[in-house]
Amino acid sequence: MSLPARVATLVVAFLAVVAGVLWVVFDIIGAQPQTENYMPYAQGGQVNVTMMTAAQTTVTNKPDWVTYFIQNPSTKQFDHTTYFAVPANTTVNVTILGYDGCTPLRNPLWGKVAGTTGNVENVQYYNGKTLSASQALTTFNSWANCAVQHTFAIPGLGLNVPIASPTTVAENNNLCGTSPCVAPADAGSPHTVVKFSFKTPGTPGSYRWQCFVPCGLGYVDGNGGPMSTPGYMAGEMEVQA
Amino acid sequence: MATEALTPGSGARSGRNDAAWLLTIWIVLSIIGCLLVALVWGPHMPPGRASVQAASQATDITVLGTIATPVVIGVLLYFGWALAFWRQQPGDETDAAPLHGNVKVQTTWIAGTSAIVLALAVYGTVELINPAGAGAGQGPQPVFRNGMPPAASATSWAPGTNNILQVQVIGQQWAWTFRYPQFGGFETTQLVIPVNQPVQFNVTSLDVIHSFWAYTLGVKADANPGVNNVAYTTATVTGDFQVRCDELCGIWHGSMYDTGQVMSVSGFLAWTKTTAATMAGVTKMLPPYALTYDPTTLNLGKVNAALGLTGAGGGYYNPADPEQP
Amino acid sequence: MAIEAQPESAHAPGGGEPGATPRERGWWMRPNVLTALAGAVAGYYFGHWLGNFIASQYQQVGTSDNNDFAIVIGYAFLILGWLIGLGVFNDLVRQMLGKPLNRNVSLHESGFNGNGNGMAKYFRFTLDHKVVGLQYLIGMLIYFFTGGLLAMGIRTELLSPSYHVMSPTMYLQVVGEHGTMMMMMMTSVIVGPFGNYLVPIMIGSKRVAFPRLEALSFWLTPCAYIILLSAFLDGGFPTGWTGYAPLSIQAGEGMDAYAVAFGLMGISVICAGFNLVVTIICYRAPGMRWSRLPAFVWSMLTTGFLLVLAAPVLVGGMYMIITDRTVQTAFFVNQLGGSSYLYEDLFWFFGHPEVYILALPGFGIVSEMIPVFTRKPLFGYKISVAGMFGVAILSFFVWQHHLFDSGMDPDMRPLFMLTTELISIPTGFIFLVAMGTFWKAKIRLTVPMLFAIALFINFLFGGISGVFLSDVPADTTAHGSFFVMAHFHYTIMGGLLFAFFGGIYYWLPKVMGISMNQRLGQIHFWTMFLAFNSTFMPLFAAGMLGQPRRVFEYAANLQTLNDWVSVSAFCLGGSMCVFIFNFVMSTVVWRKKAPQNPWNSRGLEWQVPSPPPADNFEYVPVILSGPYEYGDPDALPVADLHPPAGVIGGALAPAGASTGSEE
Repeated sequence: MSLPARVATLVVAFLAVVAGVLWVVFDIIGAQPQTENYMPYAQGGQVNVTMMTAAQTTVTNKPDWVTYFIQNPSTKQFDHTTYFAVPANTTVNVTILGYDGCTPLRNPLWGKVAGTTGNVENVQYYNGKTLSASQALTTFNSWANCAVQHTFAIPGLGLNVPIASPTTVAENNNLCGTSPCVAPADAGSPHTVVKFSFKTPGTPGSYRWQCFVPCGLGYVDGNGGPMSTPGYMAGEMEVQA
Repeated sequence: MATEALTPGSGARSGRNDAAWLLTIWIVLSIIGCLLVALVWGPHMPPGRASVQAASQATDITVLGTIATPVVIGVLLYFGWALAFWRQQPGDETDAAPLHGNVKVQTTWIAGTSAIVLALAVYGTVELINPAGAGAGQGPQPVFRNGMPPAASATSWAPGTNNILQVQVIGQQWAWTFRYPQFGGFETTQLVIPVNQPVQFNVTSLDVIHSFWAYTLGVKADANPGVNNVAYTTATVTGDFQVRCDELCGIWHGSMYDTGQVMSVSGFLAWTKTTAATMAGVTKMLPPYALTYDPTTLNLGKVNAALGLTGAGGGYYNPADPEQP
Repeated sequence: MAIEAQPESAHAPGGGEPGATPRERGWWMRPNVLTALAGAVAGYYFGHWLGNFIASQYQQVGTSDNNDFAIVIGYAFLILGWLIGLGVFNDLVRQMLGKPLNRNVSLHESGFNGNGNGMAKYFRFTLDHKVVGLQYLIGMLIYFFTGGLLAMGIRTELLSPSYHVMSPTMYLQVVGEHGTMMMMMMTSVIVGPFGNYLVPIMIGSKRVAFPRLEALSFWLTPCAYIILLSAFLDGGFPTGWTGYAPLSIQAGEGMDAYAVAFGLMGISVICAGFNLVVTIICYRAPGMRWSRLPAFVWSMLTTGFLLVLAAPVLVGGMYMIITDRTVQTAFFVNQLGGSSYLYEDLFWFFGHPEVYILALPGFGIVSEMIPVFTRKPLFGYKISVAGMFGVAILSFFVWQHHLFDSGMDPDMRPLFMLTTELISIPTGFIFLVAMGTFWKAKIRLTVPMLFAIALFINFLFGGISGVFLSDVPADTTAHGSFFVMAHFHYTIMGGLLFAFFGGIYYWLPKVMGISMNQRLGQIHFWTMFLAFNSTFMPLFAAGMLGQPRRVFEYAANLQTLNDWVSVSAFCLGGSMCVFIFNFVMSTVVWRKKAPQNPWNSRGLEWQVPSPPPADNFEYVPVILSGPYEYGDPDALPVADLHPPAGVIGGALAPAGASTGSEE
């Protein structure tokens, strides 16, 4: 080949490599679930965050994976993400709509509420017809009863909140079949409403949160799949100054 | 090392006696270096001296560092000397004087390195036996337990008796929990141990392999599923210490850390009393204390059975599979 | 075949009847890398469909949205399609059917089916060891820089102890891809390019023993590379390069890519090692006694033995991972009679010889360069060979030092501590040889020599830190921390890769007949050497201060240290850019012609023209003296390249191996 031909080949190859690297960096390695930004919605040292659990993720190509959704504070839509941002030194009032059925905990220790204001959570059960009165609960026995569907735990803050589940076989067999569970058809789906509060730390940074129920069905020890994938059962709470 | 004893080759281009110079400089620098490492750096060697095991490791690292210093100095000095004095002169295209080998040098070198290596192996073994396994996990049947009392009672403990304090460390994806069988078997996310008391960590895992690393205590033991891994330590200083997972265990491995605490004996006993009371509600739901747990064969309640849930195992392997196929 | 018939080409492997007319095909019918890619894609989709057809009804597949069976079968057919597309089986099938081969040129001149000249042969299943060597060189550089880019990603994430530029899974994927790319693909980084290219020339042979195995060993590497990187599209693997079970059984679909690619690479290095061992033992020229074998060839022989003996264990381990993941055999699951220790033992029984597979070729290269640039014979040639063999043999008896804290039988600790420390004796031989050779030398500080000296300085720190890791009490703190990470980067990158780059500067004039720019080479060396030490030296401290490997969050007080390391790592990346610029400009644009023997070396490879002719040697040479007789005015030339016919015939009569036919 002549010199110009060699140089031209070289330039083309170089541009192709750069394009490939940029594509991998931005499209694959840099890809993250979106972050729900609750920063502007904090008032008087308080912020309200609403989440949802569902037994399936029909919005992705993993329809059988269990998942969390987080409500977008401005559009009020439930987005498929587990990342949210809240201010430091603020009380976060969390509401979790639990639409999944029960699964036993691997370690029953995680059936105890810890790290919330007053070390309790307030639970309302909806059995498909009526919403029960709010009960303040501290401990759940997932082995003896159908009591827990997931947990919301931030180990870095000592926070652990078991999400109560619909309690009977009939209710568990009648769970909402789409996700997020907001379609009119899901209006009668059994679920629970779990409310609790906790204080964010003064140190800004990323605090990971996870679920301690081995809910990745079909994976060894139940901790693969959704349990190991951000956006499903693993997420980060971004505490900002 | 012994290289400096090389006899001058026949091709020496100057009157300089390289061997004598190298040997002298090497000995002087080595003495200075060894003294600096052993006496100045030594007291600050990681991982510190907060426990008997950590102190033995710090000593061990100091000794190894002191022995390594002359080796490093010798090799660097030799190459530095070679580059400074044995370069090709401009315009000199001839070869250097041939030297195919030197039996005396080679024998000295082999004897010297062998002696150092064997001495290190002996020293390492002694340092392993003395501080009861040096804080490393020893599997279910520990061999190195110098000075460690037996686990005489599984249900009670008092300081200073011939009965070691047992703390079970349970790794799970992705947190550590700690169980105290001698205080009613409560389980907690806090790790507290008493000062100046021998402690036996029983490390196990509920799922994949983790590794329990209490850095300042000098303890590291893998948490294997279905296996009990014992490590000993005796903390000598009160205060906080870091606990990290040291074996890649999945997505949150990097944030699987905790802070433990070494307390006075009375403080520790008071802590066990309060914690046992706080955790009483959940303690009675825990499985009976055992050295290992198999979560795939849980005795689940009626409701779960009716739902077809056969164990907290993720349903990858059929729980009806025989245990020993 | 009569020796007197030379200089006829040694005939093609598996060649048909002497009188048969080989078939010439149109260029569109000739298999090449593009048809191989097409075959791979078609194979993957067929295999994936087949796997889904078989396994989609499995309960485990239904609940996990994860059909490992389909993916593994897909990869199996991908490999098959790749090889079929490449035409690997064409000759075998035609021979089986008794038909003439598709090739009309000799083994040494040709691509498969192609004409002998031009670039095309580099993109085909070519049997010439010189073509395979160059293919390996370019391949290894691509794999290495891919792994290096991933390392830049890791260091970017570690700039901050608590803020993250990647998600935690992506961080683990990048760490795993970097580690696997570097450990698995770099296994062949010297064996592949330099071993395949130079060993036959250095031992005076016209060919290697098994050209098909050799070519296959290269062509499996791009396949393994593609499969490994495809893990990114399937969610990656969270286990790092060690792939410890049961985490690797739990992981998602990307793990299949790891197991298949690593296993495939294991097969590739077995082929490469087997070919090298047989070539070195059976294809030496007359007079090439064991005592005259160049040190680099000795290192290739020991490495080849390690590859052949250690890699099958890896392939077995990967196979068990695959069956555990697809058909649930539970080899590594405690509750079902398996053991997670089984995997650790299998892996490290391969893994520890592996790290010496990565060290010995580096020793070989520097032992080859040092006599040339000190103008002295290699000091203690026998000691050097003994050192390599000692390292190779002992490397099979040390693997449990990776498991000191794992809860294995504590009785074994003093034993493995002893064997591990013993291995520093033969390693010390290599230092003795180098230091003895430097004694009162006339050092020519060329670019390759700089890299050779740097290897000894880096390996010194790598080796000394290894002693800390072999000692159980010190290892209790160092194990699994950045100390270990710094240690093996010092031995592998500081050792193997410095030797690799030195080798490129040293042998490129021979391999391509082109000199690289020496000024840029010096800039590359100094930036690489300083940035390398500035990157990895502080990591010893980070590890000793309690930073575990493979974490994306670390203690806040270690941030300064980590930021320093990250900036140094970016400088190291910049230094690699200098190399790429130099390499690409020198070989593609400037193309400055190199003299036949620019370093004035006695090595046999330098006695033939650059680049070497198709058959390496016009006549089979007769070796007259050792390769390192510098400064000896009475030394014979290294070889007689034009020996009288009768002499060779007589010399060859008993052995008759060096030009023997394939069958």
